[in-house]
Amino acid sequence: MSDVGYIAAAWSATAAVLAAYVVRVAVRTRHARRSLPDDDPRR
Amino acid sequence: MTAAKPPDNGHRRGVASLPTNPRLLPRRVSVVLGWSTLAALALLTLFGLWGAPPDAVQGDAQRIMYLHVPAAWLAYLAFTVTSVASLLYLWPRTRSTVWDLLAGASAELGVVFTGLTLLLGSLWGRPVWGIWWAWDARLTTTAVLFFLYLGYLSLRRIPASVETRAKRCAIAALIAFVDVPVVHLSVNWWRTLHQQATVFNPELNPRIHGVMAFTLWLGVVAFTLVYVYLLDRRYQLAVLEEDLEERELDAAIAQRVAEAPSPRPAGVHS
Repeated sequence: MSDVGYIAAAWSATAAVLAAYVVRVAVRTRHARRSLPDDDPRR
Repeated sequence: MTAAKPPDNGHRRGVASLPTNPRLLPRRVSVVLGWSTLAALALLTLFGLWGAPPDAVQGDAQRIMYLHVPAAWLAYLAFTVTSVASLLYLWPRTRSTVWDLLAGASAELGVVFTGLTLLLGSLWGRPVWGIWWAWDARLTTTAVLFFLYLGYLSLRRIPASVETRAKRCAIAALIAFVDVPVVHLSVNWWRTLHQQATVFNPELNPRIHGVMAFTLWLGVVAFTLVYVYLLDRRYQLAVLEEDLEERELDAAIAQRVAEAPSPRPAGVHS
């Protein structure tokens, strides 16, 4: 693999890891918020 | 036969002990921060891939540094925040569930950044050193750091009262933090394949200048924005999940109490 390949892999891996983490946190937050009662102040 | 006692719930203080506001930052600040983070990452990509010149020795492969080094520094920052929050939890005057949840949120981000550091380091090492991995002091201590905080995150998942969990996790976080300065100083203490510190070296004389230095600092700013944005989101999730867990536990305890046989009237013997 050329230098360009390694650079592309590095940038793609960083974007994929961060995006996957953001999505995971967003999905869990949505699920937790929906599971709480309507009158919960933290909802 | 004696009446059933309510199950022992340890030192639980329930939902009331949780912070009422699940956010670290106001919603509007969080939105602005999110867009600023995306803009900073886009700018970093422009400078990292095209703006900065190729390295005289390593060529284009050195561009991975603009991601690898900021990821490593942010891992240090995340674990520092975890340690400070853990200390504030252990200190009786400042003890609050907020510090425990903040410590957990920051540790998880630290693990993400450490994992990213190892991955990017490997992708940089292959074209420059010819190998994906070496049992070099810097690499090994970083891997140890990764597994120490994975252990810390596992410890947080062990069922216990909020207070018990918070106390033992705070102590574990402080023990794990000992590895952070070891990672940073490993390149000075041992002969390593990994290069010595470019910016925070013993002489405090940065060996990077011009557009390359600018791009590196841009990477640090972009990753710091990512960290602050994600910390706010992860803390919010921690508060919501803790709230949910406490409510589920309260409901389970109430159900157990309701199902228990009622005490017999006085004077009735079996």
